[in-house]
Amino acid sequence: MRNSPVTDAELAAQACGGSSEAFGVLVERHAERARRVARAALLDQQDADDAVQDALFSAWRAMDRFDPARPFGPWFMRIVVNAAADLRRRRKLRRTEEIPAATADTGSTPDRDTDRALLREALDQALATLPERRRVALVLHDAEGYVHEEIATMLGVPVGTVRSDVFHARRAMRAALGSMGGNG
Amino acid sequence: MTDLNEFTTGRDEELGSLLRAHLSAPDDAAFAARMRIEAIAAAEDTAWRSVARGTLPGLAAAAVVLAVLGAALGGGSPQPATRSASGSAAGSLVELASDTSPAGSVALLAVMAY
Repeated sequence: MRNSPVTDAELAAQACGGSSEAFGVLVERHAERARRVARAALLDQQDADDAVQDALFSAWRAMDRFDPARPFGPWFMRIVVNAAADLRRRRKLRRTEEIPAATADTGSTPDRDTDRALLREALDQALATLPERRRVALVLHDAEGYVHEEIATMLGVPVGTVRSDVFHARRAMRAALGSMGGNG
Repeated sequence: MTDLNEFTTGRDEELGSLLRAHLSAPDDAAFAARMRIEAIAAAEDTAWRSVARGTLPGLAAAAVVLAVLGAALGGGSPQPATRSASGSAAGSLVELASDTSPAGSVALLAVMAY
């Protein structure tokens, strides 16, 4: 079933009918994307993995309310975003807000001898200075390809807010990457 | 990276590609496979819980019905086992227990008190 050409809609219909195997395939298909979005929200890989795991439990419990005629991806991603927010609240994660741009570490690291390490560091710092919602909106739009309307539904904000978030996040990222002298 | 217009809807492919690579981890495929297993386990666990939730009250109700039916049938006709046990001490006790008359109840209480 893993490499079968079965569509998400077909799998979702089976999952709604109680097929655990179909649900498993759906989750596997969307897990990497969900992991990236959760990491963008939480800025921590372990927390992101926990959030995705929480999300899959929530998704299964909500499958009987899912409309298989609608795309599974945005629905599941909304659950992931909510799971990340819940996890953040539970653990009182305040990392983003606690790292003001002016005091973010720009000193040397063991990896600074390569352009790749510099880029990773710049991306980490730039993402950390963005408010969580802007970060998530940017990743959902530019990295994962969701449209503004889908993201608005996922985040529970107006479409205009998503447009604004993506715009400001891009500008901040461009400034951060431009300041390192490349890729901007 | 282009598209600094707030009102455009297109993706910034270059930034998106950078972010995707940055947020991905080397073990993403293994993670996805593990999530599939966890999803199936979670779904099946939930399914069993649902079955148990639906079945246990049914089994309890069936047990009550059987007990009531057994009592009704047992009290309404002579019991061969009781008859065959007559003559022994155990048989006497069983006979007393199955005797629904007030005298039988008093006798049973007296035997139990002894």
